[in-house]
Amino acid sequence: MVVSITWAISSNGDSILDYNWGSISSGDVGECNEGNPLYLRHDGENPINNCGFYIRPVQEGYTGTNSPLDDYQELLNWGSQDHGLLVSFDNAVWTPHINGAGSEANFPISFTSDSIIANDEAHFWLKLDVPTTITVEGAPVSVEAGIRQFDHMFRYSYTS
Amino acid sequence: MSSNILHTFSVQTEVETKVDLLQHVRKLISYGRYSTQLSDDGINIAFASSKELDASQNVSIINRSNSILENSLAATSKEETFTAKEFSTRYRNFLVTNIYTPTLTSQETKPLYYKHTLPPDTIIGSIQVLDSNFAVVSSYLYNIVIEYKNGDSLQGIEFIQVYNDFANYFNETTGELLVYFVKYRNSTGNHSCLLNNKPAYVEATFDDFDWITFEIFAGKKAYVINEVTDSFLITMPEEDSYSLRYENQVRIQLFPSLVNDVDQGWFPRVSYGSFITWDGNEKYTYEIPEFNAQHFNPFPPYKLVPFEKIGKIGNGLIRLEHTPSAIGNFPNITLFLDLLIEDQNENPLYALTTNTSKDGRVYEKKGEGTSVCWDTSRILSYDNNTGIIHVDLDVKDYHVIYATYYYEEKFLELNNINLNPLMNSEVQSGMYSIYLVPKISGGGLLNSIEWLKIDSQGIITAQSQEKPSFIGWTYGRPDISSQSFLYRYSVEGRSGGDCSNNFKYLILGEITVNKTSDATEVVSLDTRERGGGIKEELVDGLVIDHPEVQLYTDIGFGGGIPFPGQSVVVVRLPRTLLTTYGGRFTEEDLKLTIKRHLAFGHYPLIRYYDPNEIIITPVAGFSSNISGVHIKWRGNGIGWTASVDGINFSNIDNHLRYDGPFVYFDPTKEFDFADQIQIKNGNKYSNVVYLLIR
Repeated sequence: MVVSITWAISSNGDSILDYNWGSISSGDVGECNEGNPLYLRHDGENPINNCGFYIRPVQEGYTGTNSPLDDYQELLNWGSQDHGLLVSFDNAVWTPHINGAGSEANFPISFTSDSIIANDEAHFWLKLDVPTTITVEGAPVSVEAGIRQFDHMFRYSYTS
Repeated sequence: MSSNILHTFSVQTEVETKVDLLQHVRKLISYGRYSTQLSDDGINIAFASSKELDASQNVSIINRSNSILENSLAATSKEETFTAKEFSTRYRNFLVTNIYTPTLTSQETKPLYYKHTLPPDTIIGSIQVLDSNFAVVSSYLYNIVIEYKNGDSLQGIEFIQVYNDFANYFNETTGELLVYFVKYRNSTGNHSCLLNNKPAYVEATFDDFDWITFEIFAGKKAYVINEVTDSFLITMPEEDSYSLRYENQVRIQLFPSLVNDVDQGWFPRVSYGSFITWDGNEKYTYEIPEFNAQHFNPFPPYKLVPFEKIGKIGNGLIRLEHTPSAIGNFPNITLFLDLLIEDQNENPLYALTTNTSKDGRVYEKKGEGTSVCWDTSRILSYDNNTGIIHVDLDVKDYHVIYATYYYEEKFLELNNINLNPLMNSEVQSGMYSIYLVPKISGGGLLNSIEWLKIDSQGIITAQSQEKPSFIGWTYGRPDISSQSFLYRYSVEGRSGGDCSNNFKYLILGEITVNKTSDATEVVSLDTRERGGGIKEELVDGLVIDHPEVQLYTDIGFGGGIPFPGQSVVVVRLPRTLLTTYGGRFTEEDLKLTIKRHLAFGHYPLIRYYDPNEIIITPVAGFSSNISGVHIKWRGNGIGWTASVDGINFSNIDNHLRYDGPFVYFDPTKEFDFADQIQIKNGNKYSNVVYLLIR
């Protein structure tokens, strides 16, 4: 049986396939869903395990300014300098997506509770911290304006 | 397994927002710097300044020297060629050469009028000419010639000459600098030096002659010049193809003063040239004989310039003001250059010289200060034509450089015309005309440069020429006859008719000294400071030693020092002023009023009288049994009666005399002792006067 995952911006809300953060000024922190949590639920009979988040370059339909890979690497680079995409499961402790932790399926940011039982919901918060400058090879480089895109991935395993 | 959601966000790096703009306009704070220190007891009152006097701005020269064709640029700018041993020219100052650029089939050769001299052991293949950018100049633009002693190759090389037509150039106004360097190698190593040109051919001297043949040595680059009937005859050493060009200063022209300082005289100059004109009957020689009467040092045409302040024009390059300078070997003499370089505090830093006999000797500045030694190694090269000196020194902008050197005088300075208005107050009241009187066939002149002073009406008011007198003449238009200087005497005037003008004076130019600023352009700033004056507690002590403190209006007496008067005045007032008598004033009121009008120290005695009361005053002493008693009182002359001891005195009118404002009563009756006399007029009564025995 194939389990289907539903992302929503409200508890038991309608499924969303994408999210537009809008415009974030460099030096500012954008709050996903206006600071409210996002929700994940599945329709499997059994719990799903090994839950975790990671990001990947956009696979198709990219409409950003640079390239999917550039945006992906840039976001990880921001994360390595305490900026970038931050996730929290309690709206208190925040974890950035960096190389080796949230950068690919084998290196996800694990959920605090590892499983989501059937018909239950997991909720989480997301923030985007956009820096004004980023250090590249030891020298500060200004963050340029432009549209970025990335896929936020939810990794899980399910045994029917 | 995985599931994903696409996230999109836009990074904005500029934030646009509108804000209200409040504009503050603040007065620029500026500071003035006083160039003169005030003494401790000085007081700032005002700062005043006006435009600085500057010869280049104030003095204007109108050039009229080209009114003779031979003295014009058109006549002197052409190049001539001749193939001969002799040629004639109307000008004394020229350049001649028979050396040309190396033949290049695609280009015609050009004459090379100058030569730069290199030592005899120069390796010819090492010679290069470099321009200001240190780029190598094409070797087809110059020619290298070996000069042998006395023109004889068997006697050995005398010099290696680099013939060229280059010229170093510096424009003082724009700062444009073009210099050439000559690089070469000889037995002492590699060298580079400023291009220092001399003319390819010069006038022959004693050493140039073979006194056996009385000819110039073949190979010597020298010529002989003789003045003949209507020209100068030039004899070259040998027949050859020569090119001739006239020097820039061949013309006689008026130039502004070399000096621009307000505290020195501004003397105009005339360039030392010479040319001949011929009108078919007479030969006119235009020359300046007084040039040779100038003070030269050590001998003509050289002059000494001691401690001239000069400036830097480029890296390691400085420039002398008087050109052409005369540094190095000249016929019969070697002339030296000394440079003294000080810092801004007048401390000597370097003493450079070309005089090898001074090398290592101590230079001592007069008075206090450190001493430095003469150094002959740092003056690397020089160009006498432009006065540019190349020194092995990082010359800073704050260095002050003094040069002592000789130069070749090319001008006659007119020392009797000082154009500096601070020294010659009349210079702005008119115009000077400088003219040259030519030498006419067979004649001779001691002075040829003369001047006229012309007023604003165009009338000549002063002259330098001894005779004839032009005072009162019009400077005039060249077409007006009679007493017009231009018409009657100058080359611009007409000749023939009743005013044949054979004088042909050449007017070199007209000079005016203009006013470039006036009183309305004076800037003055009030620099007074608040405060000051004399402390009150010090005034009394200061007045004794410094009585002038009383000039302060707040502590002194402008109208004089008051002294209290010591007198008593009797003031008689009618009783009717007093309130007790129906008036408006109390006695205190009247006392105060009177005191106000009295000078300090005067004491008023106030007496009130009844205006209806008649006060009689005896005029003379009384005695009984003496006639002629006079009594007087104030009043008119009618209606009076008198009583004596209460009894009416009859027929008083016969005894009254009115001499306004007094009435005199002169009764002939003899009065007795203690008679009481009273005068009446209507309802008015006088006081009673008692007669007393005198």
